[in-house]
Amino acid sequence: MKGHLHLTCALQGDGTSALRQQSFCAPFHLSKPHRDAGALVVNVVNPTAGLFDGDELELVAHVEPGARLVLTTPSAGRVYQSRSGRPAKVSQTVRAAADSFVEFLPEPLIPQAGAIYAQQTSLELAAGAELLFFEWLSPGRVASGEVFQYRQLAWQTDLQRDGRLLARERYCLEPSQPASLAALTDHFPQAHYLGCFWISPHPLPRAALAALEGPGVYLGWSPLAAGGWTAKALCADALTARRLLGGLRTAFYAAMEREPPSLGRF
Amino acid sequence: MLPDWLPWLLQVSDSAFPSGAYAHSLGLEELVQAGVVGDADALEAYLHRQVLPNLLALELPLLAHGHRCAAHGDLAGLQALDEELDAWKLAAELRAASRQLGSRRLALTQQLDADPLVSAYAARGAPCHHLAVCALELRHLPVEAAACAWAQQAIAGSATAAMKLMRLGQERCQGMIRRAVLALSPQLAAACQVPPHRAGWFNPLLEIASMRHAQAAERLFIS
Repeated sequence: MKGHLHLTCALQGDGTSALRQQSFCAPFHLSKPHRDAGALVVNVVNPTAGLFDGDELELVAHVEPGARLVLTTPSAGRVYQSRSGRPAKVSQTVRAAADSFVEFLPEPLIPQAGAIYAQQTSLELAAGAELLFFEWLSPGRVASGEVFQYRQLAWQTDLQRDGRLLARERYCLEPSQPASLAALTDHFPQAHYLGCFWISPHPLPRAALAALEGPGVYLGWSPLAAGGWTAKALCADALTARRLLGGLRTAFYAAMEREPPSLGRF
Repeated sequence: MLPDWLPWLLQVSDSAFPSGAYAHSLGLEELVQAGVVGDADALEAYLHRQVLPNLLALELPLLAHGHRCAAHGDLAGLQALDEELDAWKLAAELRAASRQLGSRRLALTQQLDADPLVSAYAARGAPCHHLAVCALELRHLPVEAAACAWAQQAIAGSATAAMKLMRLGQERCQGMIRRAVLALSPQLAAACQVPPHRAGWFNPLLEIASMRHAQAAERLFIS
């Protein structure tokens, strides 16, 4: 299945944010966007069971000057066994203009046994744009005893601001080559990985982040080379990961002196 | 016949060469503190499961790319790689360590040998990551030899840093280095052929360790 979602979020005359343009086709679906805490909250829904081999999905979101967009998903992204040997591919691009804010917070990716998945993410910010970006990679269907049984995850993320590359990640996880998972499993055998980028002129909420440390959490944060921050964590299980994700979100919104729009899950 | 580059390689690879590398554990100190690398066996596993794959999948392909740029006098290409390394190194302490080692090495190299290309690179205001500077400095070597020198340095750096962090003797340490290099060698030439746009490796554990090390109240190493 080949699907796309293209949307543009703009600032309206009354100071609120709204979708100025949208175009999507299956398997993408948009639930009715709503405003909360000064931002437009858009839930990107995939009403199918999940991603299958050969699927190619493209998401492109533009956030215009002054607009505030929260892009999220209501449920986990599942990638199913590849029967053909081909990957499911997802390409996601977020472009944020000056003085805009975008939060990108998908639910966890759950790669099931035999899954092959390739994801490419490009985050392109203009000077003065703010970003809060999360990603959550689970080890699989843990409750079913399916832990790190996918075939391959190929991941690439680029973060640029004003044309300068701030962060680049590219990796391929293949459980058939255990060394590729060592950085996950050497601390917690069923580790959930959380990654975050926070680009904002506000000071880092160090004390609030330090308070998120605890059993089952291995958390670190660092400034990027040319402004902004990254936070990364390994978590012992999904509940710990969800608590930590909620805590990170609360801490960063508090640092930005804003209420986090309610997503009904933290 | 002795290759012209061999005396230079021996000098800059000598542990007495004052690059400052002895002051860095590159995240290992925190991993030892956290109990992830608790003893000599765990250290050897760390070398084989994390250091070698990182070399093969990320650093050696990028080093080979930098070596090609330098060998062709393409300083703009080398600088682009140098700047890209800033983006790859998400943990500030690892990024700073790499820049510090590289800058020091570049300064020493300029003092030891009048090399117009090295001087021209130093004048460009590039970040001077260690990998980029080594690619430049070792450009007269065959790429596999340069990659071998880089890998040897990375492996030995981790192993010798560990001697200050855990009970580990000289002989055990050297044995580990030897086994790691032997495991890497058959894959080295292939790693040098990986195009830079396919290079990459996942190591959030080491990144987080380095991020935490930067905030540690007590520490033996700079990184």
